[in-house]
Amino acid sequence: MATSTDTKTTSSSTSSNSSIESSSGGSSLAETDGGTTTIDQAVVSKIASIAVREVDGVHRLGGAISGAVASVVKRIRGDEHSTAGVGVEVGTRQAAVDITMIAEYPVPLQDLTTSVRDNVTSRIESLTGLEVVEVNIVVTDLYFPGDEDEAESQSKRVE
Amino acid sequence: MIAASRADVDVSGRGDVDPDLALARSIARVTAEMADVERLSSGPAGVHATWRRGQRCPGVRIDRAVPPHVEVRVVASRPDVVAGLGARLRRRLREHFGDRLGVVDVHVADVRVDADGPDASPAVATGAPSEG
Repeated sequence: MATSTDTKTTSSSTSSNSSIESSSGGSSLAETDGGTTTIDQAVVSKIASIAVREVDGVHRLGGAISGAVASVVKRIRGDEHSTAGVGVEVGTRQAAVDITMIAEYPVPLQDLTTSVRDNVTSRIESLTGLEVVEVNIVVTDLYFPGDEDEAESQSKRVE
Repeated sequence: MIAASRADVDVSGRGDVDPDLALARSIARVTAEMADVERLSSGPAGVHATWRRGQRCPGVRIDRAVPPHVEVRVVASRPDVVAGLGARLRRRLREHFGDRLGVVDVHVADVRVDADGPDASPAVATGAPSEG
């Protein structure tokens, strides 16, 4: 009976410039007490998603299209938590995160992205033990407070 | 083949349970009893121990080596229990089964995020426009 604690590595679909040993399903953390623990990408994605939403100034994750798709998926599946707008690549000990989000106006974007990066890094590292080597953020749009009210009033005018 | 003790064997009511399947079911039961574990998950690849038709144990795979190599696939109950879950589960299984188990690999397949729970972000908890 083999008693090795070798880690398993597989490939990932998310591109990144980091030199992470990627794994398609998850990250393998080598352990010495008789086995390995593997954390799936879904776990890291959910933690990253929560961490982004915790930061004030983030309107929502994802762009317009991914947001619409996520909304449809949520209605169909009754998903408890969407990870739209979050891409992760996990390796044996490291993780890289790609985030697409819409920011609220007039939040300073540099401060916002710094806060998001810090929170995502902190959460993933503390909750999974993985080292976060990259958090790439794309702000695709700005949300202006009142946009939805305006849209509502327009639709009422039509009626 | 390592047989589970009588105390570990789940009583299926159908009798004639393969000892390996009984061991797998016992592992599943001990795993599911942990507060850190929401449930076992067979996943898209179908991680489960199967012997005869109708006899399967989702989320647990064991091989026929001596001692058996065990793979357990779980969904964590909260994000803050993910770190160290594998070690805790392994320790729990060691306490229960001793040296009857070989290498125990743990795969955390998913984590439960309760929108009303303490782990939910303000945006999630208040239903803020987070999903577009």
